Amino acid sequence: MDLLSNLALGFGVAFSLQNLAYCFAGVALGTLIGVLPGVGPLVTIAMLFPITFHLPAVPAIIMLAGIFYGAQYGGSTTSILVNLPGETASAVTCIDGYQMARRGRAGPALATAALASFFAGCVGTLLIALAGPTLGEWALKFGAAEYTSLMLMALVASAVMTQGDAVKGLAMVVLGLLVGVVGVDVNSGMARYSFGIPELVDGIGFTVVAVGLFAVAEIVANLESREPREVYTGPVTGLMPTARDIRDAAWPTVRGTAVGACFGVLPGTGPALSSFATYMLEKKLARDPSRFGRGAIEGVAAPEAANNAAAQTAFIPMLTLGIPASATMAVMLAALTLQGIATGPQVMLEKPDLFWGLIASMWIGNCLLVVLNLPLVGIWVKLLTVPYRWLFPSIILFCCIGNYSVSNNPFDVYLCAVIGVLGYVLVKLECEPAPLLLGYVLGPLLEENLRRALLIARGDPTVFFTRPLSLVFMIATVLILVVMIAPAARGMRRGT
Amino acid sequence: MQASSMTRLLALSLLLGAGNCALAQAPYPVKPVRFIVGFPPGGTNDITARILVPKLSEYLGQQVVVENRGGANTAIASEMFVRMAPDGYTIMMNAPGHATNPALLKLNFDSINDFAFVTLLAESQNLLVVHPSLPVHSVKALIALSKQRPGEINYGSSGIGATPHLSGELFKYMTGVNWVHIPYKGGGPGVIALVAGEVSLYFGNVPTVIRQARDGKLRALATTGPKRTPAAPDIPTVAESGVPGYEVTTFYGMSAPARTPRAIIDRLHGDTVRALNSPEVRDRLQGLGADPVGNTPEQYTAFMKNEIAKWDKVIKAAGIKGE
Repeated sequence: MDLLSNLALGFGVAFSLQNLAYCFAGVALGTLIGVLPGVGPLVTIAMLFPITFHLPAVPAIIMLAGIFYGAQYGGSTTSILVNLPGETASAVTCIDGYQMARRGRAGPALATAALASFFAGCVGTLLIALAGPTLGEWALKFGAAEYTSLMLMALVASAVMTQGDAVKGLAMVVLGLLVGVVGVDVNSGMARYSFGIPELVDGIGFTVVAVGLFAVAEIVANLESREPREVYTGPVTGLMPTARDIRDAAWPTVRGTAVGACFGVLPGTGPALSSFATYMLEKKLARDPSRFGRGAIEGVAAPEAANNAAAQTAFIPMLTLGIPASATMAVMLAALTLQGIATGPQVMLEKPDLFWGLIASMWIGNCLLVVLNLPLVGIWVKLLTVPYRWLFPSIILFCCIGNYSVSNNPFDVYLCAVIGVLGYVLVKLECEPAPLLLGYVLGPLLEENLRRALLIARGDPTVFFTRPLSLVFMIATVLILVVMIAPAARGMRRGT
Repeated sequence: MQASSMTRLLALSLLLGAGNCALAQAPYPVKPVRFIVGFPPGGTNDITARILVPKLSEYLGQQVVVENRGGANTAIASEMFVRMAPDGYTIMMNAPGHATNPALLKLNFDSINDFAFVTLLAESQNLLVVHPSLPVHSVKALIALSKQRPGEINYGSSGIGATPHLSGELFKYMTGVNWVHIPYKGGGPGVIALVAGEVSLYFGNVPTVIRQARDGKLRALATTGPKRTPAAPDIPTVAESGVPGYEVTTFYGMSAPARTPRAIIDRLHGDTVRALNSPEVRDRLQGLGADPVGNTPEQYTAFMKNEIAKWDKVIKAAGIKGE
């Protein structure tokens, strides 16, 4: 069989001592920068770019790829331990992961995140190997109209994100939409809500919003009570997931992988959306949705699987079409170009050692990441025994460094403090930050694609219903709406 | 004996040291040099800086450190930069945004007089590519088709004010065709939309679209530079295909704050040009589709004045607004 011989070639390449060493260096560095908020794979890969001049092509791309998917593993660590999202894609993991940690279940949460990521990473890599070109062509079917309908569906589904009061949840989503539109409008080039402040012209960064709303607000709320209150209340009960945990997390991991793999191929969606989408799906499917937000293990497994699957399939447009879908992929493509390698459909035939070596290295890298991360669980959990009065200044320091490092600008640190205060007010009003963050992610995407679709259709709104894929999303949107409204409507009729 | 020879050695070295100081009037550089890039890490600007820096550090004898300060198409970095001490320890990378921002934004600095321009590092061209479904094989045929179907053809870009957009607007301005601009968030999504056929044409940086054009997924019509690019010498320029005078390049330049002493500018200029001429830097820049330039400070200043005037005209005519 062709695939087997290709994989044999790939593993032959990837198992050379040099390539193994660079794979390990990549994933170890990826884990490290994943833990640090703000410092993401793009920054790291750009800084290491000059080093690749002195490396052959295969170890160079193996190392850079390792940094990229390794960061997804590290990103969940601080999300779970201290409510501080280490990477864009792991913000959703804060919701249930941190609650698990507070109940003494940081160990199982961290281990579940690592294992779910491992499963998703392996499946994602298999998808590149089996169906890369097909998926690449599939991504091209998504135009502005399809993205608009997809985002609309996600926006309607976002009502699921709210815990208690639906009106408050809706208000948070809308507030998020507003925060998201700050900055230059893609379609007109006009700066909006920038109040003449140049730093706001490019909008408010994801790190600033997520760190402010989750980490800073949480610390302010914890410090409020006068009497010494321990944040981590539950006794630490075991480091590894129990049999029940594994049973609960298994299907969410599979579903998260599927959702993440689809979003990863689509260049117009961004890294955070796949984890939000799968979280909403799990909450809708759960027998007892009220467990979500209080430390449900599904709420950790599904988003972590999704962001890792997405990190793997994000390579598909670059490898099969030769087009980088994101800035990170553009730097990797530049590194390959300087090595004299042109990516595209031919890369599998012209450079089989590179393509299959990379695929094989991704499996090896994912194994290394699990081996690297599982023993760390014990160390991380010990960190929580540090008294909170010493822990919180370190977290704040982390937040400041992370925000500063994004653009080397103190403005972002101040802005994060302001958003932290907003987050504290929201805690007081019993409004949740997650719907706000979802609105912030969705709003600009929805607006950008809606206006682009209408611009291309010259203002004809039927475009959303005449394109088949878009129509499918529209029908799904209506169905979700019906499913959500029906119980409420029934209740009202009973009431009269 | 031994003590006296030690003393002599010490005296000699002191003498030499003093002589050194007296000879070189400006012992520049004695500490690391900050190289401000007005974009977050990972863009072409940042990559160009990182390709140049190892050799430049070697020749200057001091580490040159890339410092990213993104935002507002280099305007945020520039605003901070013009307030830096003009001592040669802070230099900046200029991008096309430097030439277009005066017409788009309200700036708190003077884009010419607050800068001491050192040298134009490199220039890259855009390639006009069309989706194969558009029945044209030349710029002339494209103009004719566009005149037949005014307002029907869509062209994509990587964002408002970026060179793919400005290339399109200059083309519309000079030929009178009417296309609809569809901006995307970055070059990747823009090129994907073109390959998918969502837009019909695109002015993409040569290395980002040449491969797709060679594979037949796109059709290349012309390049936007003053002369044909070495990366694709078979493709004519827009100017020679019936739009004389048309020229758009993406440029990468180096500047220091205004009032930086001429001796320091000369030192920076000399070592930078030497770095640009080294085979490593030259090959890497060319590999990514940028042609090294390395002109004099005077030439670069004149170039920048010309660019600012050109884009002011085009941006006003196209009605593009930033604030």
